Amino acid sequence: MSLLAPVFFIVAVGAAAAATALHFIVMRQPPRDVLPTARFVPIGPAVARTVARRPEDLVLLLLRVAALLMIGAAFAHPVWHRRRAAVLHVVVADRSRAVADVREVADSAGRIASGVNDVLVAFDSSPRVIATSLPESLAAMRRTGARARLSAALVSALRAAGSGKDRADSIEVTVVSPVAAEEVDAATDSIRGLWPGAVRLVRVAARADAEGRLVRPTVHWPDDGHVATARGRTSIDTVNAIVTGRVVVVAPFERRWQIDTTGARVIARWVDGVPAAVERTSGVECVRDVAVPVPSAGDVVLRPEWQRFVGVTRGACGRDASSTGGRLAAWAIDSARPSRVAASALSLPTVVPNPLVTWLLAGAVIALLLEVVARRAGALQGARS
Amino acid sequence: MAASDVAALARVIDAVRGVRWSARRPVAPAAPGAHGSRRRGTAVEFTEYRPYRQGDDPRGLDWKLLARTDRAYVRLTDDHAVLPTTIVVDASLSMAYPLTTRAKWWMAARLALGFAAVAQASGDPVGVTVVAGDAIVGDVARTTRRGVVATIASMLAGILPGDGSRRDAPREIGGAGGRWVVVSDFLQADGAAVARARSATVLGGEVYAVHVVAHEELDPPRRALLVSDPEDPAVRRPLLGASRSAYLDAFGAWREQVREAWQSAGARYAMASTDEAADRVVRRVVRL
Repeated sequence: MSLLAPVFFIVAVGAAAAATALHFIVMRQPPRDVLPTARFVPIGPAVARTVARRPEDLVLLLLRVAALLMIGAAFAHPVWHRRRAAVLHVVVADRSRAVADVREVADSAGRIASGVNDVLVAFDSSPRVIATSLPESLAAMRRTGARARLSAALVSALRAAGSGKDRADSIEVTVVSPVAAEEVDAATDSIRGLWPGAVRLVRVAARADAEGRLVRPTVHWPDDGHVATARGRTSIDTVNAIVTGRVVVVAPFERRWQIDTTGARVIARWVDGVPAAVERTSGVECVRDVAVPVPSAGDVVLRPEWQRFVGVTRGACGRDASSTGGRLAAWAIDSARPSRVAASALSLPTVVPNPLVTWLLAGAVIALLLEVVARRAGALQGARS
Repeated sequence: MAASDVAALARVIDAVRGVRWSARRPVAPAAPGAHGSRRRGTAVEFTEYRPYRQGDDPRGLDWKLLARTDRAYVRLTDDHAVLPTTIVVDASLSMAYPLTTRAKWWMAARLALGFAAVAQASGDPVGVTVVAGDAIVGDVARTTRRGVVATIASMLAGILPGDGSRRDAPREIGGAGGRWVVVSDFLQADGAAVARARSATVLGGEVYAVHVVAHEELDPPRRALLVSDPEDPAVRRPLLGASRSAYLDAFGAWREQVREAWQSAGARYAMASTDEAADRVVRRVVRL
């Protein structure tokens, strides 16, 4: 239980302390003494304000303190919070055709999602959120023949994480997948960016025949780099490097063309981030356009990195799955983001309505009524005595 | 009466040793003493000659001068007389304050004994009368007897202020001539004492009013008290923070009224606080 406005309770405690202190200050006849010149003392009430060792009117004091504390507690609005787990695991498990062994996925997911609050998002072309009976669901998980869509699975995982923020102090998202190239689309990076923490990646083996579906691309690479999907730049400049995956070719390239990236996947970029080569797939056909002029001078084309760059551009489509996995790995090791996200960072926790406020106010009213009765009874008793 | 009380009283006798108390003006004819008398007497100290007039005592004629000059002159001399001193001490209940020490009473007793010692050392007959209200509760008749001071000390040490068990017949206090010393807190004074003092001074007497005030009366405790008058239990007043300052003002104004009343009656007034040394007060009073 916690207090939404503790300042009211603090004020009430202060007021109760003041009331208690006032009960120690009593009007009482001072001690008597003899003074032959007493006639020169002006006539006045023979009572004085003194500090008593014990509080006067203990019943009144208790009623007043109780009323003040109950009013303060009621205004402070005590609330109950649900019991929360330390960590809520949201496991995104791949059961698509890209997975070699779905049991490996189930085992990895089962090791992570072992808590009662954990959520499993099993996905292929569509995600399925499973929040109960996770062991049974994992045991019954079968591979499907559908192509996986990691973006949709991430969206479901983020929704599941948001809905589970009341059940745990922190939330961790784990992706168990081979992360094949066909599972990633243009929205994946943006969707992943919605999650404020790192995404833990557990890579499993990809299905062998998934490699078999990779097709040899048709590469359009004129020597001057003027492919059909590129248009001339307004200003020709020189770029000193070109990057594709982990291959970097450092050389002065004359950049004449600006390649069209509509409906294409960028496979190489100039060092300043401008796309330099794209890939378009249509069914089983794969076409690559490389708008990089082949250096005609120097020994650039003889260098190993250039050879590797050429190998990447002529490699089978989908072979850059490693680069996709590396990107996801970069998600996970992003040092700027915590591995677990505090649930409180997602939104304010849900407050459970508490009937205690009503009872506290009712108790305060009763205490005040009793205080009035006790005060009048004391006054009557004093008048009789 | 404890021996320590007498010893405490007697310490003031040593403290005032050597102090003399001269009359402020020529005293009335009386037995030979140390004070100048208004009467031309028969003392050996020659003053002047005066022609003999009919009716003069022929024993005053200077016969040798008559034989030499054939003129009758009377030989005049200054006379010296004693100044009978009566000390009136107030032993009312208000003098038994504070209750634990009775400092006011002991101050009054020490003052009375000091005055008696000084007067007796000056050769004057001295007596002490202790009064409580209208009653005389102790009395030592005026005398020049050597042991009168010790007798007075014993009498004072045996008196309990406010104790009316030893009541003698009321006696008129005051009279023509002589020296009268009234040692009191004047809380019971109704004006009669001042009137008698006025009569005494008119008849050539000397009156001293010594106002004994307790230190606790001048500076009462600062804590809240419900004070009552020991002589009038119906008077019960709260002595609080605000009323304390009003009390101090009223008490100071009353003391001033008392001083003015006695001085207007021709008496010499002095106030003695209980935190003062009695011998200092005695020295101060005899120089008034």
